Amino acid sequence: MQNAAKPQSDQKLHLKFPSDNLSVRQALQQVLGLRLSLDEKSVVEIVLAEVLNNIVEHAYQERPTGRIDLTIERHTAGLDFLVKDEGLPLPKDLPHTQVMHDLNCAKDDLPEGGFGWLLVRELTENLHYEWREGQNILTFRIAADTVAQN
Amino acid sequence: MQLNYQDGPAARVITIDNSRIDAAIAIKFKDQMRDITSDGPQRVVVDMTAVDFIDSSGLGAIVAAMKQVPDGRSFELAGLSKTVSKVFSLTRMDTVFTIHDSVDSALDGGLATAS
Repeated sequence: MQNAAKPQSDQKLHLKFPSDNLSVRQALQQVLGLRLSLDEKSVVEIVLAEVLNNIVEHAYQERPTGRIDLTIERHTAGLDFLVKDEGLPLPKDLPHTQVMHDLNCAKDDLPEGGFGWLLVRELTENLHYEWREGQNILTFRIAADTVAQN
Repeated sequence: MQLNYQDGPAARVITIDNSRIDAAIAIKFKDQMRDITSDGPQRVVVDMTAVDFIDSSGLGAIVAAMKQVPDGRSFELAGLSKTVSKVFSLTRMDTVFTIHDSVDSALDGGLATAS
């Protein structure tokens, strides 16, 4: 177990872990161990699984020794996430590029990918990405009211 | 992962035992689905009751599994958890698939008599 940090309080969690699949899964489990409502749990799991999987697959290209730094803070407005890694930068504007799937197509033409950022965009607010000093820095909020509506 | 199935005269019910369909099993899922949907009864109902979570790769694998079903055979889903339903509705894939509350409601009277 290489997760260095313990929850500092119920309001804040800071984890540092390597980019191998087991550590990423353990980190996700640790986050889901926070005091979350069932709705929050489901949204957090969907969003964080996509974000971390993107880092493992694309930023670190499946290299298991990359570093991932995750901070979650609870505010009255919701949960604020800060995710940092030192892998390859994201293609420009990718988090905000709308992939509009036309689903009124022949069965054979249905899309089998491109759902990841779509899910992250739909379930978060204040989604912001920047590349700074060799780091990918992604921030977003899972709003309290989003959680209630979904 | 292991997919099991049971046949009635008109329907094949495929049961997924995994609690997650994600990147780790997406390819195996698609391959095993191809094997067990290539023949058999006309209706295929996939029991997803045990699945708590799917990610985007898992959703892609389910779409791929549906696309490889031969023409004339259905590919229906049943028993989606709250989280799984959310992934389907946010991506609007709930408009593409036939989705039942449960295998029982999909078969309306049981596997032996379902038409």
